[in-house]
Amino acid sequence: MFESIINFFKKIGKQDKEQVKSKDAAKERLHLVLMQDRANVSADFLDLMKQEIIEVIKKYIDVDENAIDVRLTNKENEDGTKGAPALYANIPIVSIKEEVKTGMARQKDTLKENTKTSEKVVDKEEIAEKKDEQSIKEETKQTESKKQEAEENKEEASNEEPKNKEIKKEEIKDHKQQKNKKEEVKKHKENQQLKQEDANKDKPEEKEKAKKEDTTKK
Amino acid sequence: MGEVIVITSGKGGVGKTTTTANLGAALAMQGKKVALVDTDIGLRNLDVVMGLENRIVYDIVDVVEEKCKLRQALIKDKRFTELFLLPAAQTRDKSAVNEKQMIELTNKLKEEFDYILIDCPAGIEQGFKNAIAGANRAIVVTTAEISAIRDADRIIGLLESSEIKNPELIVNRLKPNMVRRGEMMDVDDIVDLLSIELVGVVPDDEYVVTQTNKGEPVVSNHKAPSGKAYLEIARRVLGENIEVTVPGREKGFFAKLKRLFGIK
Repeated sequence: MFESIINFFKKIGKQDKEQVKSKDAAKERLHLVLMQDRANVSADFLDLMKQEIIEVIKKYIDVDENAIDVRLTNKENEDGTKGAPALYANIPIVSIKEEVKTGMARQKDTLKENTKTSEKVVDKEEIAEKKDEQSIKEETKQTESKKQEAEENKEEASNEEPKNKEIKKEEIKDHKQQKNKKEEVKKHKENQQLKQEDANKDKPEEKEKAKKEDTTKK
Repeated sequence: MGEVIVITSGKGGVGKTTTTANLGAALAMQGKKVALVDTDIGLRNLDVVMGLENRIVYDIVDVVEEKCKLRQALIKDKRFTELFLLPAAQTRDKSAVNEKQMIELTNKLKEEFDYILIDCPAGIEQGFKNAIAGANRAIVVTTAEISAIRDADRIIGLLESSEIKNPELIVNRLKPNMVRRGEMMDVDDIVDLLSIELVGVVPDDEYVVTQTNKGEPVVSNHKAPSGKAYLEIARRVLGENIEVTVPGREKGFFAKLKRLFGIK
């Protein structure tokens, strides 16, 4: 009898944990939808912005494009309430580009490139073109980095560290053999990335806020 | 001079008509002289919800087109001392009335009544524009559903860009058990999202169905939790500063027991 009562409550407890999601899902979806409704922006605005962000970041680091998560949310205040709207971006790093690591001179060059491209007017076709160029570059760079990886592997295979914060050492690891370890590191980095994002959030957030105010005034 | 309150929601089926009928009845029970105006021309329902469908002779379009006097079209609800209904026309559409005519109509009603409640049709087209034209106060009705909240937000935006400032919120058909299980959005969540003042929360209640079946407002049934909620809303509408009762938040023995087991 007593056991059945406990089981009953356990069941309710379980349900609670599983289905908290439906309420939170509704809340999250509403946040986004209301923000879009209020600002009167189209749904593909976020996609366009996401594409451009990826293009820029890809110049410096290899990122996992499928795992990128860019969305508008409300920043959580310290007391747990929802605060100002914020642009949230979680971008898992695969590796940092060789050319970026090797020299500051090159970095400066890419910076120049970067500013040039950002000056151009955003156009869907243009983005697509850029993407093609980018993907060709990507391939060549990847083959380069693989060669280097292999070399470094020979040298440093013996003194591997499972959880290393340095991105350089992550490259050394063999993809197949140490998938699990890599995932751990990746997660760790995602967290780091998150923190960075949080720190960097303030500026775009203000912009967002200003934008929102503008549109509401209209 | 009376106050003109429009009851609106954007989405259909969230309980605008039920809210109009019961808030009107509750205000009349408080001794106020109340007129209910159905602006849902072509899809009138306030008359059946009130149980006054058999007494309609003239309607709002007749008044506007001056086929009759305003007094002739107003139906007195005999169960309450000072409650009247101005029904909508069923065979016309929203274009039969324009905003200017609505302002004239509400101005006339204001001279005679303390409160004029306007039952707004769903949508944001002409019917909505008519309904809000003469109003100086708005109550937005929503349920805890994602679609109703989204539409409510849109309506709030439209109200605020019109002359009606500070719309108030009623959360209708709340299911306390689902909220407790985290399966339905909480009142606080909804107020956070819409950021307007909460004027009342009405629990989901079978009495609404049974009372409406009989053509009686739910405030006449003293057993009905929803009726109590409407009475409380009426008091807040009248300006009493009382805390909003949220269904399912009472501090009973069971509530404590459930909290002990982590069911919030």
